[in-house]
Amino acid sequence: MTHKIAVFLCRCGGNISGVVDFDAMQKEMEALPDVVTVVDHNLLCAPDGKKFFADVMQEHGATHAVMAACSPKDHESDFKQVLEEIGINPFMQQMANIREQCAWVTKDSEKASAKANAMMRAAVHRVTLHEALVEREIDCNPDVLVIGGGIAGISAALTAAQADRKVTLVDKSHSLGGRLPEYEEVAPNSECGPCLVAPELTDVSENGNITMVTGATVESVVGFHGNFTAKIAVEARRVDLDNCIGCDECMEACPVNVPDEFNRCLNDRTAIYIPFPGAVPNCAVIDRDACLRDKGEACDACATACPVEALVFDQADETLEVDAGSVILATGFDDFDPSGIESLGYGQLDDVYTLREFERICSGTGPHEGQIVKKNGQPPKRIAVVHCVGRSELGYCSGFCCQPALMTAPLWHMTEENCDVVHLHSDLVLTTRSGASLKESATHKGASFVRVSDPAATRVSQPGARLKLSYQAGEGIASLDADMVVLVTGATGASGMDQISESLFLTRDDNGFQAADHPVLRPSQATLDGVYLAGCVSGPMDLTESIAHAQAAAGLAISRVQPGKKMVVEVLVAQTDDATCSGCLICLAACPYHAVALDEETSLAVVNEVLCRGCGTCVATCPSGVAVARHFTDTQINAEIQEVIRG
Amino acid sequence: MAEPKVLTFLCNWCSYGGADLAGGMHLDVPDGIRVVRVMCSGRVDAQMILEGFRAGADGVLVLGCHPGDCHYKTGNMSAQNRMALVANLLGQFGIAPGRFRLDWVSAGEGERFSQVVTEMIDTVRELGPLTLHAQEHMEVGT
Repeated sequence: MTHKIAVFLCRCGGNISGVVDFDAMQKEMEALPDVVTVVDHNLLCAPDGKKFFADVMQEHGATHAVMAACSPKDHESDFKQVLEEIGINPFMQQMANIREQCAWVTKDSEKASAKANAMMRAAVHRVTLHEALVEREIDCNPDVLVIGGGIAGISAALTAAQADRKVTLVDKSHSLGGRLPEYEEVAPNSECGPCLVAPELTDVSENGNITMVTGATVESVVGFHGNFTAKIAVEARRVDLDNCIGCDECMEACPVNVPDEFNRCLNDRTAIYIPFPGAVPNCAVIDRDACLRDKGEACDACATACPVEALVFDQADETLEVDAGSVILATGFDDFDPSGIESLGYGQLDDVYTLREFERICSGTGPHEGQIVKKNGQPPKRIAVVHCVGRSELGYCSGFCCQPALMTAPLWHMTEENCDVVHLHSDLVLTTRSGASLKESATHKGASFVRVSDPAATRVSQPGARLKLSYQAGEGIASLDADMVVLVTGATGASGMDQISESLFLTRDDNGFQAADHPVLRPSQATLDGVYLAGCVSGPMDLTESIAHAQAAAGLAISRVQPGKKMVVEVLVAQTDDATCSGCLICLAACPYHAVALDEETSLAVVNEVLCRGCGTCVATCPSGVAVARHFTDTQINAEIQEVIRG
Repeated sequence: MAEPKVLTFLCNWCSYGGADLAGGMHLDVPDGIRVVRVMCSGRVDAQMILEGFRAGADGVLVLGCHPGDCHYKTGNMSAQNRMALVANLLGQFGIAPGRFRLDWVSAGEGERFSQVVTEMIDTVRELGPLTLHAQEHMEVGT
């Protein structure tokens, strides 16, 4: 094609022309091939400057523009827009950054002028090699897949459903709700967990836009922003969801008792069970590891007792495929397991519990119906709360455990008038206004606080009838007796995330939490476009933070993919060439985004333009020079190199 | 003696921002610093560096985002791995190690940009103009 280049010299109100010799530059530019005009303007980015720019382009029938101006980061998008308005492809221009990278940093006018000329020659040389690039749009699915049905997943699902999105909400357990229903009192207002979550669960179950899938494991998620497909294995409930009325006739008839996970295995449930009071869906489920029928026995006690014939013993497991444009991960966290710290006696000594277990002991729906008793049935006289368990093993403070640990203190006092509560803590992390008043409130109700200088040095033993704690206080070791010990543990990344994480090539941190795309700027976005993080899946958060984080994740999902709107794909991406690609696939390993894949049919490398971000690492890696970075091709860069270094 | 010229590859996100900031702060940047913008330091390949020396650069500098801060996650690490090989290759051409440098400058480090490029120019000035006896054998790329 014939090139007709218009060269614009922006004086930038004297910022550039005060240092660079524009007359000399004008002459040098006019002498270059394909340059049809060289004009200067006082401020090309101002409205009259942009009009001037458009007029000159049209007047000279110019096909390309080169600007001696400021950084392209400042005004390149403006000039691209003007070009687009006058029917010229916006990539047919090149800005030479004369202001920031020449005029402002070179005091000597002669040197600055020589450098500016070299930069401009490079820009003119380069622009003739530019290709017209057109933004491509792809169809995308506005539906949202939320993985994890705790409060974060529920909040995300409701937020997206309110925007009229179809949401699939998946949870591995047989009820939604996550951890919140386990907590009797939740900071900051001492509201009960089940009461907080119940209306949300009702909203979910009544929302026509939300499909709940419980007892389900997401085996893989493949695809890219706007077009994901998840494979979900659903364990048969063996109870008809539509028929079951949530009465407990089957549970009363069931002859099998196994530990009840909801009460942290501190008491038993039957083999057919409803996960907890107020579960959603409020429907019984058969535990196949415990049911006598799975052991070959001909029990049908539940079916006989059921008043609505809801039992479906031969119901089969199924695998669902769910398509969605966005994926929200809300799989929460795992508790640090203190059984690895032998000196704390957890799992070895009676009456040493984790806070999560103790919450259940305090609960009216717990193993002792809210009676706080030791294993031997006696009420405790002193409860010691050991903070920061696992902090040195994990290497970080989870920051969200002090608050629930203090929350329970007033509760114990109300329940057990004659029971001491002693907190062995190091730092109390109470960052909210209400958090700070919790300590005062706990103190007021009789709890006492002992600061230990090294939480990792605390030991629990049982020399006699009572438990004995020894701890580092200042330089020395102090000790106290107690009847119960409550270990306040930190959080680690959720287990069971390998398949999801690996199928989407997501980055996790050293502790198993999903990494945000940027911890400050994009905390709710995962490292793959279209995948969002809700709540503790990305690190320990309290309830308020989790919900805000989840609602932000849903907000991103619904704003970035919109029904009926196509998604614009990045233009500056890499491309390969089937005719010359040897199929060595070195580029596959180089790509930070797994955007280059093997085409099964041709055995050659192919770039997924949605996943590609255009860094060009694959291009630099390609041994045969087949991969091309659009707008940053070898030829374009080499043209720039030749000229910028000359003169 | 003519001022040395250093072909400087800057990644779009960090080091180019650092260079712009140095400009905004009116710091000194030697006029021999000649910039080519790439999206990521991971885009810079050996040919581009050799092409720079062949075109007459006395030194080549590649600046990327600090490790862990790469806009493209690990592009800068790819650059680092590749540059170790490039350094070897340059030795075979008789190009002194000081004429080539890979370093990291963030978009917030205007002063560091000024300092790194000034150091580079000083080092190259000390080494003198690059004379490549085998320049005709350096026909790389087309």
